[in-house]
This record gives sequence, structure tokens and C-alpha cells, in this order.
Amino acid sequence: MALFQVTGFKHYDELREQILPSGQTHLVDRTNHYNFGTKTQEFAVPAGVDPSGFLKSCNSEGGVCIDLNHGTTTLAFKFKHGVIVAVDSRASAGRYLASNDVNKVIEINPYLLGTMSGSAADCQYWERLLAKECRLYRLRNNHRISVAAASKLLSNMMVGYRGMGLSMGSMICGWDKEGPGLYYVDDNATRLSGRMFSTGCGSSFAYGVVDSGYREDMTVEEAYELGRRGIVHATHRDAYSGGFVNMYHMREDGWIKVCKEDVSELIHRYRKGMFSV
Amino acid sequence: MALQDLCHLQEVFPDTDCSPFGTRTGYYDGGFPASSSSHLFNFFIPAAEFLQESPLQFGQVSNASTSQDHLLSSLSWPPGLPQDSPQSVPLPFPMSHGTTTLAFLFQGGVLAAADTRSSCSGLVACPSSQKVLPIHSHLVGTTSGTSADCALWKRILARELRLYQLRHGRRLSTGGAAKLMSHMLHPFKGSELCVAATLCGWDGGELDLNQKPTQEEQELVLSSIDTRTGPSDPDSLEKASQSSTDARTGPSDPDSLEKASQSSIDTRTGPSDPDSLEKSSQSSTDARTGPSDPDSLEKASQSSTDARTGPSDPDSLEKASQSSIDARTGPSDPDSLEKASQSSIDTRTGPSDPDSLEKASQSSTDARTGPSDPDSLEKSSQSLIDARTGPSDPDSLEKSSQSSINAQQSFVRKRPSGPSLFYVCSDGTRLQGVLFSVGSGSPYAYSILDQGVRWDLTLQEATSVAREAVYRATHRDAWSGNCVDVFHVSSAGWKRRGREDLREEYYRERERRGGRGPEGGVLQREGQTGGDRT
Repeated sequence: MALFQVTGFKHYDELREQILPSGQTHLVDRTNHYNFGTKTQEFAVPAGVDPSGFLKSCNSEGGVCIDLNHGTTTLAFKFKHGVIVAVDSRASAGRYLASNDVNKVIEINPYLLGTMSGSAADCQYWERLLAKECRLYRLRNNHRISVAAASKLLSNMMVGYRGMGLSMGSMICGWDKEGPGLYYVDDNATRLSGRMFSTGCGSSFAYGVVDSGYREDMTVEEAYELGRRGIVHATHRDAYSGGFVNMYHMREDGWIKVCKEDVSELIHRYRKGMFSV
Repeated sequence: MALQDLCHLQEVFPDTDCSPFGTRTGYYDGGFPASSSSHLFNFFIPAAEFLQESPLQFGQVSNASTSQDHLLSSLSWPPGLPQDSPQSVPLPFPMSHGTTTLAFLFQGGVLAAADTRSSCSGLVACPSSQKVLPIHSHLVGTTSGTSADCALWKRILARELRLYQLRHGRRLSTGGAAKLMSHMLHPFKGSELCVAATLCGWDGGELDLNQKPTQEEQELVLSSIDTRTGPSDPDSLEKASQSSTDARTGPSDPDSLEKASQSSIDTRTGPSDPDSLEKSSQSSTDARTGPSDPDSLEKASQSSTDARTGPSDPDSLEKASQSSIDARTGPSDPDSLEKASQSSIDTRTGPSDPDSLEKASQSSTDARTGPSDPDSLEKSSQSLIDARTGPSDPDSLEKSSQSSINAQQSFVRKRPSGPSLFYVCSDGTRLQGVLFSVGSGSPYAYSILDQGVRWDLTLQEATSVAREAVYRATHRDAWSGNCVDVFHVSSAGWKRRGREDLREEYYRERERRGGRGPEGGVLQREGQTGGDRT
């Protein structure tokens, strides 16, 4: 993908524009500024199609039994020694469990991580696209992209498709020249910097746990434990979260994957009292 | 209100009212045992066509009559439902009740906590409302949903429970109260009525009250009686973790009744009955009177006593008996009574009767009361026992005078006794459990509770877990906030902890954390700038 762009290969869309200059210029067919002026791959959306309306008709209100729901729990928080990112691993389509072992963290580069919640397809596509853009930036400018800029790229991608039914709640975490960075980006193009975020339908459960146990000066082990607990308690109460806790720790020299643990075993450890009553 | 009903006083209801938007419900004939009088419930029900609308859409399309139907919905209607908006706005997801309430069982009873914010479409209507309402001395209910509905139905429930108590001489158990409430709310299913309550109560054992027998008392009791083993009995099914209390109470209630010789006693629940409705439940005097009552009754041999509550009764009936029962002081009542023989007793095990049908899964109390009942029955030789229903009733029929305890153990009726927790919702849900949290702030509270709640918490630990859970929920949830109320229900009744403003807690926590929190630590203080990039 990246090489394709760098070599200046002309994309079909641009060729088509030259052949057929007339016609509606849809927003997506224009050159996008966020790509620093490079040509990029866009979706050509036929006129008259309303993607969000179409998506609504695919939900159970429209009589279809598979819901596009946002069943997940992801959390991330900054602390003294970096950023902890913890996610569950369940993919659900309405009441159907599609998979219990999905990787919801995309490793953009050794210094950038992105989490995914919402529609799995949207998240995976757009974050891969973000990874491509980050790589391109690195090749062109000879230094790594900052976390702020990466999240801005993603946010601008989202704004171009606003109202069209995308569903994505993502946290971009990284370590750059200014230290640890954590941004929340969602399908409305909301982009927020913060010290702690949690997304997905299990997020409220995770908030309670992390709020309660958070201290700025936690040790690394305590932070791991807090992240694990947040996900485990959320998966315990939320039906759409479950599977494994995938945890990453973003440090100054890059991220490491801390663990991948089964939540069913962890809950027994944490809730001894519950199961014995 | 209750007395009025008991006296069958006809209420004057202007039945000729023609309401512009609905028919009046007539007599509520839901098979209610207590409703012997008419006009118990006369409520407006919105006209039928509104009932066919989805509750989520209700009220969103404005027309002239819609606004009038909001008589029934009032404060704390979940925000996001624009009641007067000209165009119908589809809800993104069903709104839950805007509050945070929680309740859980532990060894010391039941703990209930709630925030105090009443919201109305994004406006804080009242920052200091009360969401945990006492119903009677040993039962409190947390409320969430529509404030008006909750307050009304709690009062109705209190009235019905009082009526039950007056009619049957003992308190209805928590499970029974939950079932009663669920049946009362059933006719309104599908309407806008929105009540989600958890009933937290202490069942049974009015005689034992808060008096825990000391070890020697216990031995005294046990020695004087060929008695039941205490906790182990019927309720060997119960985890005998809280056996100490069980052992104690075991002897008390029923036994005492049993002892009554040839007294057909319409058992009383114990001294506390009349007082039970008073909030002086934590008076330890109850313990005192407790024992006295049954005893007094016991002493009265060949007296068909309509045993009554209140200390007064026993006294009147009290005859100096030669029972060494006197030795028994408090808890020992029942046992001593056991000695009495030839009693035809219309025993009532106490509060738990109707509820014997309830699954008494979490009540270790069963163990406690268990022994008492059957034993007492056993003890009274040749007693015609008109034992009450309940699961283990079969044994009540066996007048085995000297059947060993063990034999009884297998038949014992499971009488739920002890702390008990039920969740009742206006959509018909009725669940028994050990931990519930209701409202929009409940997910935040659940995760804290899941971490911290165990059976063997002390009262102080339990209070702090509940407080922390409500605090976290009020911190993150917009419709919960302001203060926190904590209630504790034990065998002595309910007790309320002072209301605490959570804003102070927030500032304290900020101090503890040195000005940095997890959610975005730019906490400005005197010109100090935060360190985060934005």
C-alpha cells in the first residue's frame, strides 16, 4: 500500500476523473488535505446512497437478526511509567458471539498502538489505513509521527465520512518526543486527549474499577493489576465483553505485550467472596 | 389508611368522574388476599391507545392529550426523552433509571445505599431526595425509576404489609413483600409506570431480635432442652457459616410456642410486633420482651390465647410457672416453652410462614429458625399442631413426641429468616439475590461491589464499600450525584447512617492523589498549569 503510493502510480479514480471530468464531485473524490497532499485511496460512494440508513435497516428493527453492536471493553490510562492499554477479546454480532479471541489492539508501529471498539470492520480498515499513513510520514519526513498528529489523521478520516454510519471508538496510544500520549478518537471525529479512557459497552464497569484504584505513582505491577481488573470486572458484568485480557504497556522504548489471560480464571481470583456465597 | 381498610370503611370515590384521558381502574381484583374492601386501587390509566405505543416512544410526539398523561410520569424520567419536542426523536438506546442505588447481603444483615439526586430531563430537580425508604421496622426499599411512582407504591406496600401484620399476627417476609409488590404492579405492565426497587429486609425471629445469646446462655438453653442441634438442623442445607447466630435463634421462636401447653395460641410474632412498625427497632428492649412473651404464653396453660404481640400480653397471661425456663432469659424462650407439653398450637413460625415457599437460598437464617420450628413441634408431645404450610410441613403433622432431632432435620420446613434481598421491577421482574445495583450509575457501582463485597465483611467495611461504589457512580454518571445515604438492616431493624455529601469526598480524594486523577489530571490550583499535552 505504502509503496504503491510512493511510486506515484495513478489510481483508477484519478484516471476516471481525467476521462470523465463532469459529474458530481463527491466530497470523497477530492484531494484530501490530511494526507499532506498525496493522493490517496478513497471510497467512491455512488450518489443517492445513504449508508447509515442502509445500516439501520440491517439491525433488528429492520427485521434482520444480526445486530451491529459495539460489544467490547477497552481501557487505557497514563501513569508515571507510561501508558497501559488493556482490551477484551470478544466479537459479537447482536446476541451471536462471533469470536472470543479477537485482537483489538493494532500495532501501528513499535511506538504507536491503536485500540478498536465498535464495528470491527470499520476499526480494522481505518486503523490499517492510519498505519499506512504513519509509515508514509516516516518515509517522507525521516522522523516518526507524533501521537497527536496520528490521532489527528484518524480524526480527519472520520470527519470525511461523518453521518455515513461508521462506528469506531479508538484510543491511540504512543510515546513520542513529548512523552506518553493518549488520545481518544471516535467515528464522530471527536478527538480528546486525556489520562484515562475506556470505550465500549463495558466501559462503565471499567471506569468504576480504574477510578477507584488509580494513583499517579503506581508501580508497574500495580498498573498491570489495575488494567487487568478493569477488564475482568467489565467482562463479568457485561455480556458482550469476554474472552481474554490483552494488555500492552507503552514505554519509552516502545510497547511490550504484557499478557493475554483468560478472564474466567481471573474472575475467580478476584471475586473469591462472590462464588462462595 | 390501614385502619380504615380494616374497618371496611367505604371510601367515597366520585365514580362519576369522567376523566378525559382514561378509565378508572375499578376494584383491583388481582387475587389479593388482603383486599377485602373495595376501592383499594383507583388509578387513572391512560386511554388504551397510548398503551399500545412503545413506552420508549411515548410522549415524544407532541399532541394535545400527550401532555396530560404525564401526570403519571414525573421527576427523574430519564433524560433524553424530550417530552414536548415537536418531532419524535428516536432513542439511541433504552434509557435506564437515572440514579444509583445498591444493596447487598453480608454477615451483619443487609446494606442499602443510594445517591440523592432527582433529575428531570437534564435538570437536577432535587439534590437531596431520599431514595431509600423504610417500609417497616425491618424492611427498607431502595427506589429508582420515577420518583412519584416509587414513593406511592412504597406507601401502598407499607400499608399492605401493616394490614397483613394486623391480620395474621406476624410480619410478612421480604420475599412475600416482594411478591406482593410484584403482583400489585402487574396490572400496570406496559404503561409508563416505572418502579425498580430492591427490598432489603430482615425476616423472622422477632423473638430473637438483636439479642445474641452468650455462650453460657446458649449452653443453658441447650442443656435444659433436649434440644435441637442448633444451626445444623433443617437447614443443614444452609451453609452454616453464620451458625453462631443460628444456634441462638434456633431455640427461640417456635419452640416457645410449642411449649405452650394446651394453648391454642395464635402465635405472635413476638414483642416487637406492635412496635415493629416503629423505628425504635434497635431498642434492645425487644430482646427482652421477646422472651417474655412466649413464655408468658407458655405459662398459660390451657389457655387459648390469642397470643399477641406486645409485651403486654404475656404479662397478663403470665403465671408463675415452675419452669426452669426462667433461667432462660432471652433467647431461651422457645426452648423453655418446649418443655410444655400437650399443647395444641396453631403455631406460626413467625414471619417466614408464607415465605417458606420462597427459596431461602441465601438465608443462613434458615438454619436458625429451622431448628426451632420442627423441634418445638417435636418437643411438644401429643400436641396437635396445626403447623402452618411451608415446605416441610409434613412433619408438622407428625406428632412424634420424642422424635429425635435428627429425624426432624430432614423434614424441616425451610423458613427463610435473616437478611434477605429482593429486586422488584414494574416490568414484572422479581429476583432474589445477594447483590443488586439499579439505575444508570449501576455499572460503575457493580464493578466496585464485585471487587469488595464478601459475606464476612464487618459493618464498617461494608459501609465503606457501599459508599465508594456510590461515589464512583456519582463521579461518572451524570444522573447520579450529590449525597449518599446508607442504611443498614439487621435483626434489630434498620439504621440509617448520616447523609454524606460526596463533593467533600471528591476534594479529599483529589488531595490524596496530589492533584492528579486518572481522567485527565489537569487540576488547576492557584495558577499551576497541568502537565498534559492537549
